[in-house]
Amino acid sequence: MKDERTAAVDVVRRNGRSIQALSRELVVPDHLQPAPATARATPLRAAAPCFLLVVALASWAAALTATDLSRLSGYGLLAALPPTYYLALLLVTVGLALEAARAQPRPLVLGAHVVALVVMLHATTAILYPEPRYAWTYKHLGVVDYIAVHGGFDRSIDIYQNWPGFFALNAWFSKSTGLAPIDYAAWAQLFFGLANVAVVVFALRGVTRDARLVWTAAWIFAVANWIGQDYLAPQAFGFVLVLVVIGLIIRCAPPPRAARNALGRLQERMVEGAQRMALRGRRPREEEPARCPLPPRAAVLLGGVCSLAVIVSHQLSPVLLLLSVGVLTVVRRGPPLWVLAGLVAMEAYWLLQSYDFISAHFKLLDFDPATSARPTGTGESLPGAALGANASRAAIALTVLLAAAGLVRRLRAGHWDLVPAALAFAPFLLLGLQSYDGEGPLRAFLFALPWLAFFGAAACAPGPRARGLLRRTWRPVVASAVIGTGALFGYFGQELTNYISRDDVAASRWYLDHAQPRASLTSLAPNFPERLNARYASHLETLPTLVTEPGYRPHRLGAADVPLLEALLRRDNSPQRFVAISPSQERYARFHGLAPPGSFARMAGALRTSPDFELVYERGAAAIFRYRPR
Amino acid sequence: MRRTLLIVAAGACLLAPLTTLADVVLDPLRVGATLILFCLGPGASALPLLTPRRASAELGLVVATSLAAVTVLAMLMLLLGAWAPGVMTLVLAAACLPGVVAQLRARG
Repeated sequence: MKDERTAAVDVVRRNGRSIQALSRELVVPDHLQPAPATARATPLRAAAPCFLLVVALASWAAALTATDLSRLSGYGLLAALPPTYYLALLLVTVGLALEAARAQPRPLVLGAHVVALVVMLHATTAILYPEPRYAWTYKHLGVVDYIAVHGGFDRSIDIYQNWPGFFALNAWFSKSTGLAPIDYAAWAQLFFGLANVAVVVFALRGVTRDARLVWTAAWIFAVANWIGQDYLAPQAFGFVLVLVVIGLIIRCAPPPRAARNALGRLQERMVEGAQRMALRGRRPREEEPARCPLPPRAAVLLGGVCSLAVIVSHQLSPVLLLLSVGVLTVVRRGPPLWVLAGLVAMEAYWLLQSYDFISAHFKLLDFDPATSARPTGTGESLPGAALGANASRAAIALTVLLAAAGLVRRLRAGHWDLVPAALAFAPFLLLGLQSYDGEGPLRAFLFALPWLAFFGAAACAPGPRARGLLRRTWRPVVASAVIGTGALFGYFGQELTNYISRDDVAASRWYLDHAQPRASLTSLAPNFPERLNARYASHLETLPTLVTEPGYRPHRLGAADVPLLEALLRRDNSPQRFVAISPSQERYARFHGLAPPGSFARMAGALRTSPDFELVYERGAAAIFRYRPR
Repeated sequence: MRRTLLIVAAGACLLAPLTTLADVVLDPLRVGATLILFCLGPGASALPLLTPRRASAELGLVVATSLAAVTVLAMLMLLLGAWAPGVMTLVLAAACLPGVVAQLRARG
C-alpha cells in the first residue's frame, strides 16, 4: 500500500494533477485487492499451471507426429490433426485460467502460457509442411530476391517495389546469412506471433499495469487473431511497429495542458460530458499505467524511426497508424498536433514518390463496402468450407461482444477507458477510405484487436467476490473455447488451399528459370506459388486461369476443355506461352467446388495427347506444357 | 537493461561478423547470430543511452526499435546505391557492441 501511495504522489508530481486526482488514485486497484480465502495459493495449486503447461507441450509434440496431411479436407487442417492437438490447446487454456485466477498471478507463468499457445498455433504448419504456406507468400520472396540480386528496387515493376523497406530488410538478412528467404519464410508466422505478443504487452502497459489484465489480453489476442497477416509480409512487420508507436505515444506523451482555445475547451467539455454519461454518477477510478519507458524526446526519436520503417514498408499500415494517432489527438489532446503533422508529412512524401505507379494501377481512395475478400466460386464448396468461413467471422463478432461486456464491466467499476476504447474504434475509420479488395474490415479488426482484447480480458477477470476455483476460472476457459473454435476454423480451415507442396514450388521455379522474358503462364486454377525469385520482374502479367474465366461452369475437366484452354491462350500474344497444372491449383478448385477430384489429372492427360501442347516439365502431379499451335 | 538480454546481444554482436567473415559451415550459428543482432542489437545498444530507466528493457520495444533501425539502414543502402549487406552486418555489429559492452561493464 505504501508503494501505491508513493507511486500516486509520483504521478501527481510528474503530471501536475490535482489533489482530487491523487485521492482517486489511492483507491486500491483490483490486482491489489486482498484475495478471497478460497483463492489463496497452496503449493499444489501454484504448481498446477506449470504442470499443465508441460503436459500441453508434450501433447502438442505428440500431435505433430500423428498428424496425417492426406486428410486435409474442407475442414482444412482441423480434420488432419489428432485429438492430442486439441487436448494440448485445452490444457494450456486451463493452465492460463488457473494462473489468472490466483490472487497474485505470476507474470512469468502467464507469459509462458501465452508463448506456448503461440508456438502451438504458429509453429505447427512450419513443422508439418514442406514449403511455406499461402500461395501469396511466394510473391514476396520474389521481391526479396530481386533486391538481394540487384541491390536496388525499381518502382515501375510492381507495388511491392514502391514499398521496399521490409523486403530490403529480408534481402540484407538473406545475403548476410546465405539463407534463402524460402528456407525461413515458414517460420515467419511464429516469429511475428511472438513479436506481436511482446508489442501487445508493451502497448497495453500504457493503459494498465495489472499483469493479469495485460497477459490475459495478450492471450485473447493470440486466440482471436486468425486473420493470417503474420506470414512473411510487410503488413506483419507493419503491425508490430505501429503498435509500438501507439504504445510509445500513450505511455510517453506528456499529459495535455489545460485548453487554451475554444476548440480545446469544447473537446474538454465533450469528453467530460461523455464520461459523466458513461459512468452514470459513479466516482471515476483512474488506473495508473506502467512506468513510461522513455523520456518524451527519446520516445519521439524512436517513434519516428519506427514510423519511418512502417511508411517505407507497407501501404496500409501507416494509414492505420495515422488514424489511431489522429483519434488520440482528438480525444486525448495528446500527442501534440505536430507529431501527427510530422507523420502525415512523411507518409505524404513517400506516397508522392509512389504516385505514378499507384495512379496508373490502383485507386488511392476506394470506398466499396460491398466488396468481399472471399473467393467468388460458382460451384458448391467442399463440406466444411462454408462452415469455416462463417465460424471465423462469428469469432470476430464474439470477440467484439466479449469486449463490449468488458467495457460495461469496467465502466460499472468506475474505470473511464477512453484511450483503449478510442484505439479499438479508430481502425474502422479505414473502411470509409479504402476497401482494400474487401480485406479492409479484417485489417481494421486486426489493428483493433489488442484493445478489444484488453476489454475482453476485463470481462474474463474473476470478480473480487468470486469464491471457488470454478467461479474464478470459467470465464477465460469458456471465452477461449468459444472464440478459439471459430478462430481455428479461420486459421486452419482453408489449409487445403494454403498447403503448398514441393511439386508446386519446383514447377514455379522451373518456369521462372527457363521461360524467356515476357513469356506468359496460364494455369487451370488460381493458387499457384508464382513469382518466387528475382526473375519474376520479367513475367509481370496476371496469370489467366481457366476456371475463373467468365462463363465457366464447374464440371469435371477433360479433353473437351482443351479447345477452351486454347481459346484462352490465343488471346495472348506473348513470344512463349506455357500452361501450368499443379496440386495447389487442383486443391483450390476442389475446395471451392470449381472442379471435382481427378479433373486436373484428366486435363493433364488430355494436354499430353494434344499435338498443340508439349510437356516441358513434370514433377509429381505438377506439369508445365508449352503451347505450340500447329 | 536486463543482464541476460545484454549478454545475448553482445554474443550476437561478436558472432554475427565472425561467422559472416568465416563464411563456412557454421550456417545455423550464423543465422542465429545475425537474427539476434538484427532483433536486439540496435535497441539494446541505444535505448539505455536515451534513458536510464530500467523500463526500457521491455522486449517489445527493444525488438521493434532494432528491426525498424535495421530497415532504415537497409533502405539507406538501397537509396545511396551502396548495397553491401555483408559489410553492413560488420558495421552494425561494430556499432552496437560498444554500447552493449559498456552497459555490461557498468553492471559489473
